[in-house]
Amino acid sequence: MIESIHIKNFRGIQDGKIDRFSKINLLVGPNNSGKTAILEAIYLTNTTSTKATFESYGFRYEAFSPGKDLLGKDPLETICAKHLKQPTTNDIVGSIFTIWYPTTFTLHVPKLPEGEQCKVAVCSIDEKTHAVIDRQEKKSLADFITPSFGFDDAASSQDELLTTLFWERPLTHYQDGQASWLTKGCYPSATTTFFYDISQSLSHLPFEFFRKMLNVVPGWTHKIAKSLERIFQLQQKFNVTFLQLQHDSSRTQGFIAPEDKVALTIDDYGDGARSAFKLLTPLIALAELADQEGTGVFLWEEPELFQNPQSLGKLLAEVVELIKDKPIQLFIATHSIEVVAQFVRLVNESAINAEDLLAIRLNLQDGKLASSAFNHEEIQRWTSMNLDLRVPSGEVDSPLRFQFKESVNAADED
Amino acid sequence: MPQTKIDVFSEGKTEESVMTQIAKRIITDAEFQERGGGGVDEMLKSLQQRLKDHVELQTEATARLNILVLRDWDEHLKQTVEFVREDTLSYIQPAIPNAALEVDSTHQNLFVLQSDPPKLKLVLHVATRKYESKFVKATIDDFVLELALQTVTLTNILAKKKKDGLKQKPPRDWQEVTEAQIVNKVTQEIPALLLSNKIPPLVEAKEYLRVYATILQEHISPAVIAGKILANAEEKDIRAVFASLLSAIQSLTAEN
Repeated sequence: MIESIHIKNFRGIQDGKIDRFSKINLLVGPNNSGKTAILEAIYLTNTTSTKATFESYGFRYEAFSPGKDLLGKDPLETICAKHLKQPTTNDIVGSIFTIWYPTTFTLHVPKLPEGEQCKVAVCSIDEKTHAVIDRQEKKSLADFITPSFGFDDAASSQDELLTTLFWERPLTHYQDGQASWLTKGCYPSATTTFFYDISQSLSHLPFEFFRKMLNVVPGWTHKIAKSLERIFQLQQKFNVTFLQLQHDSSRTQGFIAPEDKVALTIDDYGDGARSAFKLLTPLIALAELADQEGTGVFLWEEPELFQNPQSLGKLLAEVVELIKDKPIQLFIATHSIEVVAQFVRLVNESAINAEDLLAIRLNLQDGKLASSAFNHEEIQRWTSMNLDLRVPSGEVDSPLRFQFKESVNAADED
Repeated sequence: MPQTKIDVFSEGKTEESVMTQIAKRIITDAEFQERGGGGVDEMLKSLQQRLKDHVELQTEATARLNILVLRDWDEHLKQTVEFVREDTLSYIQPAIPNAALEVDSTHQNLFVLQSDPPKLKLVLHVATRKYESKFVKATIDDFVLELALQTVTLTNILAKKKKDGLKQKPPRDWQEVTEAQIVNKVTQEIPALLLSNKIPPLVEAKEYLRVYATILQEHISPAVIAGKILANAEEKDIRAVFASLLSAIQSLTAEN
């Protein structure tokens, strides 16, 4: 499980850390407070897991390069597409490097075109600090590894820490060109990493993913149908099936086929049903694959999108049911206090353990990220103080107030 | 002038009711937000969480957090005022390790913590004023009871009853009732009646407030009657009785 992250120079975050994560993590904060950036940083680290060997200056490293995620997507392309960008090609070769401290040095390097010489060298500055040098541009990156990226926590830590180095300039802080972050606690596994956001709900599943899952997930389409039945309380019997798209054979489209009616594509249904379908289809597969292929990481941006509160509650309950006994860690970025309230209720109903839930409040000012983690009890206490989790001051100018705990006739209390 | 926001951490609803009236009648340049309630333990846990969050999420742009903590003095539990101060501090220090609560120069029942960083001003008000020395504890109710038994407060309450009572269904005639009668019933006759019937005596202000509310045929909750008492009291009496509380608030509304 990923236990902490310390980010430098990635997107809006110049410097900031989150000291603890749990199994289910709800990232809350104003717009531009770093929620999505944190999801993206975790996604990039967790998808950089393709093994290789690397030798330089007499040091031998286990080397890793970015792989394809659960859906078979390229992580850098995915993140760039979220920001309507193409990955740059003229920058320093590659984008992501990770180094394990202190026992194993794991360097993540990008895949190079066939016949291309490796343009990146790595040397050890001291026992825990490594410089990455771009031979082509003769530019030493040691300057930003030390002191700029001299993570104090890495130098003093006794734990294994994974360092991700990132060079995709448009996504670095004010296009500085270099970003890095430390994570603790989890070995990356690209094929068990799933990032779900609005773009996912508007796209078709890759056909290769569909073929693979048909072979490895027992009763996959039946499980999808059962989940949808529970969320939307459907009475009518139906099957779920997939067909290749006529105009793009690399993609597949889901169909809902009722017993007594013609089948409709999932894209013919409302946005809530479509979004739930496109989330559950890979997630059910992830629940099967996690542990077989590595620890699962599910990154979910704004679960509240398209969902009526009733279906939102059932969707969250379904997701929790899928992951609770699996080695899957969930990270959610949300603006909805209703999402937080639903998770509090799931704890109160013993659907999840209290210690498995954290709400992490974020505050990002001038690139400095501050965070405050609340457990289940603290979330409830905070709202009983009439404070709102979603803004640093705790006070939102909103006509709505949430009260998670039952309150009895307050006027009669002493 | 923008209102100063003050988070109020108190043990119960009576304090909330008092603060509402003070905001309405006396201190109009402050906005009070009730954050405590649910008893002293829950209130102190809430205080600690508010402070921890303020420390963790603060940036240079973060405004000063103003906190007023209202605590009773439970002498019957062998507590001293110093114990109350230290007990409160024990919940502050996990969030702000070197914090100290210094005694205020004007009121011995006020203790002040000011820091930057974290940008914070906190005043602890301990209710040390017992209406009767025989009472087993000192609470905000003692202040309210003192105000309740002021002649002018009762004149104002009774004036409304005399005017509106006859319109009630069934009518209630308060024309012959005097302020002195009410005071006598609350402080002398009812306690004496209990005593003569070998019923245990009333030992705290809240109990007297319940008697007061019963005699005036008002809502029995001390929190509700407290609001009514402050609404009907003279401003100068409120300022005199709640001098230490008002001083605490003024300290929090001051810029430094």
